[in-house]
Amino acid sequence: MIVFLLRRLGAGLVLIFVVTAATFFLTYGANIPVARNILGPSATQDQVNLLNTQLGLDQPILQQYWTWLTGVLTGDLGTSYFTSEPIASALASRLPVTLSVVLVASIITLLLSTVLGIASAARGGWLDTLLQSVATFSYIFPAIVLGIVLVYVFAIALRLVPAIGFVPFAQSPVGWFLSVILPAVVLAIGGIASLAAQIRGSMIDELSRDYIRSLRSRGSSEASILFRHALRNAAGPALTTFSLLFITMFGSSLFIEKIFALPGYGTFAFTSTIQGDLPAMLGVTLFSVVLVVIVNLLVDVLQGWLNPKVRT
Amino acid sequence: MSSIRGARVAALSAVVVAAFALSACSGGATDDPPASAEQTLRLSAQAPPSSWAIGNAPGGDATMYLSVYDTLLRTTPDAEITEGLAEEWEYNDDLTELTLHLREGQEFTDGEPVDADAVVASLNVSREGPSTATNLTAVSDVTATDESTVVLTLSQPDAALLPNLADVAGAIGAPDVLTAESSTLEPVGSGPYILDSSSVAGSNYVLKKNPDNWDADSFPFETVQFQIIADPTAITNAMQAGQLDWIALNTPDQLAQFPEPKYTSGSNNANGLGVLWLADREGTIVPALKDVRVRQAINLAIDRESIAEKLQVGSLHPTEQVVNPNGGAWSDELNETYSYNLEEAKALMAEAGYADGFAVTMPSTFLSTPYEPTFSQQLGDIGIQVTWETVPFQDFLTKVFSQNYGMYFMFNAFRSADSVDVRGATTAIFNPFNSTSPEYEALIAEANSSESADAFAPVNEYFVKEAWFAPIFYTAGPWVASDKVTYTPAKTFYPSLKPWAPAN
Repeated sequence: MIVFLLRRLGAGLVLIFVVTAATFFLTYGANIPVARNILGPSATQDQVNLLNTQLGLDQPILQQYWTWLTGVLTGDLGTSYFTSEPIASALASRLPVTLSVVLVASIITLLLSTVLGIASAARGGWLDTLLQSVATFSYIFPAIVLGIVLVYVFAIALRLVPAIGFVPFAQSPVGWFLSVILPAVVLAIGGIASLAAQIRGSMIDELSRDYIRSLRSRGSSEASILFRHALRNAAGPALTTFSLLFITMFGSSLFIEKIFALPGYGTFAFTSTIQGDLPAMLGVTLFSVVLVVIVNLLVDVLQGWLNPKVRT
Repeated sequence: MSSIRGARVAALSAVVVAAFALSACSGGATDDPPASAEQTLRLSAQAPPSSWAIGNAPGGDATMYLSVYDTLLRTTPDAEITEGLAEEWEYNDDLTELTLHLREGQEFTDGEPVDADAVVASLNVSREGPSTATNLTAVSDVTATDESTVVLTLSQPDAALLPNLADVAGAIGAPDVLTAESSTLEPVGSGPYILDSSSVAGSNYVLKKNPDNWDADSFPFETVQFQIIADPTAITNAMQAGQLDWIALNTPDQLAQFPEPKYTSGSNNANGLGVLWLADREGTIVPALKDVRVRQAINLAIDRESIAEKLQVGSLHPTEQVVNPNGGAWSDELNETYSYNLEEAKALMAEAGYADGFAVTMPSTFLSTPYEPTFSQQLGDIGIQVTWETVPFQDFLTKVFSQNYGMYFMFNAFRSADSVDVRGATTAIFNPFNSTSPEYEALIAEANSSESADAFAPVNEYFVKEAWFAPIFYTAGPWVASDKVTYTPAKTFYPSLKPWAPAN
């Protein structure tokens, strides 16, 4: 298992290097007129040249890459062209926002999809049909429309939650919860359907196996069969689906953060791409690849814990 | 099974009930603060400051920047130059030497005095700053003659200098950190507000009142918060949810969402304009534009009234001039030079040898798309076939500046004086072909040598008669304020927090 994980870790490091290098040369090589875009239409060419020099954009691209790479190895990801923030602290201040939303959305997704999946598999009949219909509807219903409706009802009409912005947990746990609950619901809604379908399918497979029949004949309780035996065995594929959902939620946070004006990772990624904030784009890329590698490693570890066959 | 399901439902119900109970205990998520001078003024901005350093102020709105840094001079809401850090100022007879007498007793927030040496140091950094150097090109030397007197020597008279010293080029920062890396995020000024450490760069900026500023009494709010919100819908939602105190709207029909007496509303004065910039007046890539009759024909073929009426009712106003309607150079009479007249336009095209028109390519961005069908149709009426070339906005400025288009549509913002607006219309991306003429040079030299309020009227008249541009409309959009604050729009560009006050 350890050798397997070390091999995955090594592959992950290669992936990080290749993806960030490709991103660097694609973005810095694209000649995005950063200085012109910062200074606006009234700036003269002399002003633009001056800012290009200040930003180091007049240096050869290989030298710029070497500066960036050596900086990364010492923990310096550069400075945003458009906010002057060090990229590392910019990511550090935005990640808690996105993580808050994604974590709450993950809890909602896990809870509801597990309940829906198990109930559908165990009860079948009209309940299965109803739950599947609800799940399918939530899958096809545009989350952005749901977001607009929820903002109108809960933030504007009832004023129970804020329409925009984020409150750090340390500042006010209640404020934090109220600021993330609507975005989290919107983010979770699409994932519940796919995860519930996965759990339902796996549970139906498990419940039809011989060992379940044996357990029932020995008088095990239905709860014990469902949660101690069937769910544990069905959780593996669901976990893989959930890990993909988690990554997808990070990507989808872009739209959710736009609706709720949350100063999160998605907004940062979107804005830096639109503006051509090259150091910020690279920081986002670096973090995204690292996140994918870490999540995949964690899933490998969890799969090993759930299923001893994987450890060998 | 049923007991398990029941427990789950109960647990979920408990979470929901607890959430709303907590929300009730906290007095609601968006309870408005009481109206008083201690209240926080909550505003939004679409983009954060790219840098707080002297000489690096971002383009566009500078309200945040100039709340933290005081300026040598200031403008009044009526666009007049008034005292700032300099209490008095005077020019010599030929307007080539400006003497500034500084206010005594002012300090930066690091405790250092705002004296003549600090002003010289700051101005010298601004003279080389990417965003300010052009505004100070006429300044050839800056000297401190005593502790509170600074003399600026000019290579030639420059009417835009005083308004520029009341803008970002006249911002004065603490000398110890002028070029320090920290100044990009932690400005040290002496303005009416101090950037608070609770600010989160890029998303939320908190300004606390500086009680030591000489004009502190004119700024009633103890705290001002700027939230960076790029999405217009999110801005409107925040206003409706009680999270902002004031927003600008795009069109008057949005006012229906903000009924009185919970909100007050009104219309801003002119703050920007949309123009078909006929940039290639030398005929480099569109030879027809060299002929003044063609440029006049374009102006006559544009039906400004119908564009203003149909495309953004109430917030667009037809104009044929690139100067501010509230400035001294503006002329009501000139604004009827090119009233829509298709026959006259066709006759001018024929007279210029373009009876069959010509083809032109213009860049298409999200700013121009609402107007493109109208321009294509109206210019097509005099034979000008427009091809719209889609350009990503981040490449637009560079492509225009690189002389790729003979004419194009673009907005520009009014600043605080005719001299600055005229310079804006004839430099950078608004004059990529560096077009000029002996008549213009003579007129601009004369205007720069005058201190009269209407000094730039002859320049403006020349622009109109020679059809240097095809201005379409100026913008004066609506605003809405919560019942906790009042707002008094300034006559022109006014980067200050003075227009806002507590309602009580």
